[in-house]
Amino acid sequence: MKNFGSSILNQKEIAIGYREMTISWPQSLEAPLPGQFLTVKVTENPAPLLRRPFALSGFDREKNTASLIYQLRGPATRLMATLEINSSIEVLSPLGNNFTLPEKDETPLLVAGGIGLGPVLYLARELDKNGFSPRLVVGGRTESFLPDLSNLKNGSIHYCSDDGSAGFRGTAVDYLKSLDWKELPSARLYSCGPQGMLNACHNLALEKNIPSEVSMEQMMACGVGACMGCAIEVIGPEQYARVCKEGPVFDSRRIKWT
Amino acid sequence: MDLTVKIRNKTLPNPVGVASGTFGYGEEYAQLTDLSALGALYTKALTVEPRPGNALPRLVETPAGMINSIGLANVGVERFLTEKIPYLETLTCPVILNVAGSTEEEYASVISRVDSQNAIWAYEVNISCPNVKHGGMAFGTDPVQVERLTKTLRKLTDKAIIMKLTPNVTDIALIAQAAEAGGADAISCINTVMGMVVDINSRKPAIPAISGGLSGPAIRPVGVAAVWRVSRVVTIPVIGLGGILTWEDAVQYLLAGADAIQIGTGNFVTPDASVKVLNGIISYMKEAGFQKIEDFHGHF
Repeated sequence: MKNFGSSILNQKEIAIGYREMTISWPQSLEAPLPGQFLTVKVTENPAPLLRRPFALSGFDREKNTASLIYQLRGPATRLMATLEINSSIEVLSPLGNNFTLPEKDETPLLVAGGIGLGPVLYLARELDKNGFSPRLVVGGRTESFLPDLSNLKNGSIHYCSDDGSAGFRGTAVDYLKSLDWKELPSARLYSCGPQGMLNACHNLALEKNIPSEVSMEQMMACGVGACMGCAIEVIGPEQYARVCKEGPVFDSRRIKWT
Repeated sequence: MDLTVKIRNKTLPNPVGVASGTFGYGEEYAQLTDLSALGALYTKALTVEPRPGNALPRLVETPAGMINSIGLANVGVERFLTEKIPYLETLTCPVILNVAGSTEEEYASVISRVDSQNAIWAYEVNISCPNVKHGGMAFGTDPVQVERLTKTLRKLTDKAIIMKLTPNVTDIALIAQAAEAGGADAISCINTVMGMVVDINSRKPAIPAISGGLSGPAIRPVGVAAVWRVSRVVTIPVIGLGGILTWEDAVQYLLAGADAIQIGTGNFVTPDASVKVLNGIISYMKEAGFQKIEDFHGHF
């Protein structure tokens, strides 16, 4: 974990309202693992004040670059979109925990909705590189909200849109339900996206009796476990867990779904 | 140049501390800033019993600030002694334990149970938390109760007692005088300012607690004014906090009458803000020809 000055190497729109930013990564710093996140100090001005957390969407050790996906949502992300190539930003990373890797004989099913694409995409790319055949399911309202992703070598990408304008008509979870599960004897589910989607993924994992991890989101201040601000409700001896420290990745059976 | 700040019978190595609730127990920031350079580390508030904290969400950002309603989430005295003290013992900076409670007995019980710990340099008594029903603000808004609580705690320990005041009162100077009369060794001001954000889409408060504590640069002028008013009426040191992000902010507090400062929300934005602020203060002192912290005082 380190707070470092980073250069913006690239910024591009990947779908309407969604952008991917590539930044430089210190050679001496450990590589972030899929699921881990960074926080960006967006401005030196006192507003917007807080750093913004984003999951890593990719990492390249040879080039020492990392990428993140963000959605244009408020003043901070609009400001990020105006930052020019080669300008510098302050980044704190790697933060939080990471996804558990699948067993050798397991089929990784990865589900992304909206801004949840980042960590799931990084996991898909890593698994793909390491000989797994991840099935990445990306859901969105309509075609223009779906990113155009470069293909995976061993794995596959499945688009789903609510209006049927691209790929499967329906939600990402509808798509998963439509699969021939007899062909997936040992699947493992990973998901990140809107709360409703994560809850549906959890329910599906229970029904199919497969392991399932979710990457959770919560308003965050410190990002390092100090302020107790980003708590979510969990099942267990402790009522709350910090998304920034115990998470952001949780076994979906540990979350208290409401 | 003498950067030390005397409180009771001991001295802080420098005037820059990190505020309670924003820095955990130090461990969380150990990789990000030099803890040995801290003038003081004010721990997360400690209550007798563990507290899980308030309902979710607990945070909302505001213009140049944020509102929190954490609810004094902490592990309680028993786990503090076994889980937190061993780490605090390894630190070389002064560790000031922030103490909270809902009754006089609870405050007293925390101090009695931890007072033998050498790792604790002093106590900062939180009589100003706006986020729990009996989180001390009931004490902090009444000068009679402030004096009585301070007197009670004073008898329990030889360590310094710093009373942390709320700005949510009609006259903070009166409360500070009551703390001094009760035997306090210093005053910390200010805790967060009560604030509220309404979500116009859901037509509900942004946090379930309805209101919370506003912090960050938005409240800095409120804190500076409080330090000015308090430092006029007490003879004990005043520790200023509220919205300090940069050394310039800290210098404002010192010029207004503070003997030391704390960085709170600023740690979230710049994890090593404490080191940067201290270096800025030193440069400012060199340029101004200041030899000691008191040289900041009496310019207006």
